[in-house]
Amino acid sequence: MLALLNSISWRHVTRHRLRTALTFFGIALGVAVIVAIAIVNRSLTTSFESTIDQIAGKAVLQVANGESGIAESLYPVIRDTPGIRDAAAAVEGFLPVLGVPGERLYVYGVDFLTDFAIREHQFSQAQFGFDQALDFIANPDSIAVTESFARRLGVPLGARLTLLTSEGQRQFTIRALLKEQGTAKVFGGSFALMDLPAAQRVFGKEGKLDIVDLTLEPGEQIGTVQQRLAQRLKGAAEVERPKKRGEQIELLLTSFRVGLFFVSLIALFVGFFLIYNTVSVSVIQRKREIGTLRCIGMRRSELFRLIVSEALILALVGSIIGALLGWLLARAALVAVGETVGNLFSLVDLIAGNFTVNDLALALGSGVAVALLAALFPAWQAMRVSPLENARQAAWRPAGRQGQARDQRRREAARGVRQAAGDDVRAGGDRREAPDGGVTTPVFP
Amino acid sequence: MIRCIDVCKTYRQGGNDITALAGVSLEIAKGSFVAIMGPSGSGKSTLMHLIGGLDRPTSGDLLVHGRLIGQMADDQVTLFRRYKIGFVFQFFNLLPTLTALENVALPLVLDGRSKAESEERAQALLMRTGLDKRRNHLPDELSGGEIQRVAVARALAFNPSILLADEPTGNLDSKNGEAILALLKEINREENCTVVVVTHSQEAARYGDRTIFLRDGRVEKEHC
Repeated sequence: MLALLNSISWRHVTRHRLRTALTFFGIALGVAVIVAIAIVNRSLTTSFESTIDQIAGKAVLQVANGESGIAESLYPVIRDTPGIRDAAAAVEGFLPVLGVPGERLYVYGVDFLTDFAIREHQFSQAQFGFDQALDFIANPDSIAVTESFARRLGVPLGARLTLLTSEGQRQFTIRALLKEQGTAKVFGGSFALMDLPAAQRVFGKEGKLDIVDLTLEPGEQIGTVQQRLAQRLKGAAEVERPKKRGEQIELLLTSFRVGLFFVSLIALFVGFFLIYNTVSVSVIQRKREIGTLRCIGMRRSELFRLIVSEALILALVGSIIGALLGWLLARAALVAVGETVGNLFSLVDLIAGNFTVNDLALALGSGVAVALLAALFPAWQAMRVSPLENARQAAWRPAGRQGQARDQRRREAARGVRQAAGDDVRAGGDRREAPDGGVTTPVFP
Repeated sequence: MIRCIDVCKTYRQGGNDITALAGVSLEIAKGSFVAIMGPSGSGKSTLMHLIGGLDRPTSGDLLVHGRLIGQMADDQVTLFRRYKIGFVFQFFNLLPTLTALENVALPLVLDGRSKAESEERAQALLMRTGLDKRRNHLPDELSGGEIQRVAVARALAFNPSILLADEPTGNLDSKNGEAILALLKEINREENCTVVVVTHSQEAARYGDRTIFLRDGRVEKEHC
């Protein structure tokens, strides 16, 4: 089979470069989109998990109640549940920065006295001690932003920052700068800390909490405390592990993923159609050649294998090219996807996924599977070509003007080769009388 | 060697039955050189296709080497063609992308022989047909006579016991035509290979030990 592929198929492929290129394009396009979508999807998942982990800090359990929040009055119930060591309440949300189009700050409102037990907040000021903390809490317009955010917007310590809150535009004073460590790393540094009561006001969540992060006393079982807490809350809020919360947010992305999946299907279909089309055209063009092969003893099964193998080899090479293209496409698409996900669902720090062995396997698997499916019917058609096809169609046919010119060039070139080889040129050897009295010239399709 | 018993072949075309062969009965002995003649539409090529296993008779029995060729499974008849029958066509039917050597080696490559073995055999066959110096030329770099010699060499790849030639000189000038017929005769004599030539040409028929005339799908007469 290899010898046949090397002689018959390779010559055919190199002779029809445009069609070969189109087949490669079809396979590479389909595979590139599939791989790109797989990488983007994986990047989204990884990014969400990473974001959730960073925000959750050391918390092993979280109490939340969806969009409606938890009544603040439940906080003592939660905190005083046996087995719980630290309980850090928070409200969270995004606030647009006025005067900076597209800039949104992820504001985390925390109780400065309890939150440090759960999350790591590192301030840039060498001395951000108890007095500074009290000063921060005492002024409801206090906000702490990350160093990178301050640099990007050119707002130093002590500068004023206008945010669009539920109460309208409000000015805040930057009283602390955060190092980009721990929780502050989320959303590329667009992160701010606020005192809990102030944050409740700007989000219009007075008397409410979005989340209470919990750590447990040493030796306590997470499941046991989770159950105990759920009994005490009597359905007023849900107690979950942080990862579970990440999964819930990921569920929100299902529609987005389904959309991407359909894009994959379309790309696959386009690839399938291009391969099917080019293989079919190839079979039709080679009908006489196939007839000859059948005539000299090529079995149907051998012919079927040859046509399918041709498609598979093209698919393998096309898939490798497609895999590389897919990786590049994923990198280019990640920014756009991040913006779309941010606008539609939730901001996320997109971490560009690496190209893995699984991606290569996906590329080769999908490319080869599509090529195989696309080649099956044309290969079956090739199998049905009668050996009589060989006898039916004439290789010698009257050439049109264009064909005559081309054949003249071929004859001249061939004559040149013969003369160079010192052979006799048999003038008239390829001029014959056609049945209609015209001159026929050899034309090999 | 070849025995036809009341062989009929009917084609369905546009809702009508067209009879190509209407009960042909004949025998061709091993090692003979037979010319089949007749006007266009007399059924010459159809008969050759049936003998070569390229088509199946509608009725009647056709025995080649004692085997009912019309009743063989497709794979069996394909392998039968590969090993036992050589074909030479009016339109040569070489693969245009392969050189003369590769075209001759093709049946051997199909059979799974190594490249070296196939090319060695092909080289010997091209030498026999006087084309060894043109082995690396593509078909469209060869003259009609040369192409037909390559086709004859290809037909001999497996030393077939039957060589079927359908108008082998139909696209050649008289000089090249004569040369091809002489080559076929030589093969017939030296290899004891049965040669059946379908032709319109009286000159071609003169090379045969026997000439069978067909008309309207029946054997009209025979000359020895």
